[in-house]
Amino acid sequence: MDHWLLVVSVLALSSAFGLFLHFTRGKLTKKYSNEISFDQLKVGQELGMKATILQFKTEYCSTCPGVKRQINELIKNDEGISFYEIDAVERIELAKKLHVKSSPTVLFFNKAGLEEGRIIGAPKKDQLRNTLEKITTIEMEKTNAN
Amino acid sequence: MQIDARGPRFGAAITLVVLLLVIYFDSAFLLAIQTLVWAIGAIAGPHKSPYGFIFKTLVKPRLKSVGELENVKPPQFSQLVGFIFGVVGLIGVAIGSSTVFLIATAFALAAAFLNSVFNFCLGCEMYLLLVRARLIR
Repeated sequence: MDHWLLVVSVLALSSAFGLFLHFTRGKLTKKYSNEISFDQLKVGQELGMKATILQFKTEYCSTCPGVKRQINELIKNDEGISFYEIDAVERIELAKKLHVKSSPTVLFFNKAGLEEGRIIGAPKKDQLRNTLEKITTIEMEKTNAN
Repeated sequence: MQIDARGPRFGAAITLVVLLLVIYFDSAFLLAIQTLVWAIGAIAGPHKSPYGFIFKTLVKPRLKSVGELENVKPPQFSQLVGFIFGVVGLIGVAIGSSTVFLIATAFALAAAFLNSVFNFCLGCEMYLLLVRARLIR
């Protein structure tokens, strides 16, 4: 009886955790900080003319190659968007500075180099496309306003 | 090396059933068998473990769709994490602590459940957190 209680408890907690992940991961979340700009990160790459995407991966991230493939496919016809991939373990201090705790974490920077938001976990292609459209649209509106 | 990403998830589903049996029968023997399977997966890769062999010979030929490929390292690392849980559980048996045995098996059960049902690799997720905490490199 005690054993079944244990099994039911473990499965209930795991289900709750799994559902939480299902509904929260892979979606655009608010930016963590605007205090660190892309240039200050010193990733050794140039900022994109419209936006810059930075993906943190690890050697043991099973979904990272798929996310990279999706991003490359989405931006292949847009030279204004730059995409870079960084190994979070090799750049662990940078990962800490940006509050990156899991992989993949995809950060979106506007053309000024400030973080507009991030997606933690593997995003769906539509989510990636919408996020990019949103960021580039905001930038266009800002340019037009000026 | 790239492997069919459905293989490790299938293996996690079998592991889930085995661990439920371990708890139901309070069986150290079954946990030892499962720990051996994890050890093979951790050393040679999940595709070389008995569950990987079952997937390759019995399941994959019956699947119509082509599965996405993934790097073998993430599921191999999660096999190592499973192996550690298994060893801790067996140490619990050796020292006569059923609490250690059950807690270690329960953690492994949760990881197998998350992997098979939600496709969430707990071991892979733990990796970066462990590096951040300077527990591994």
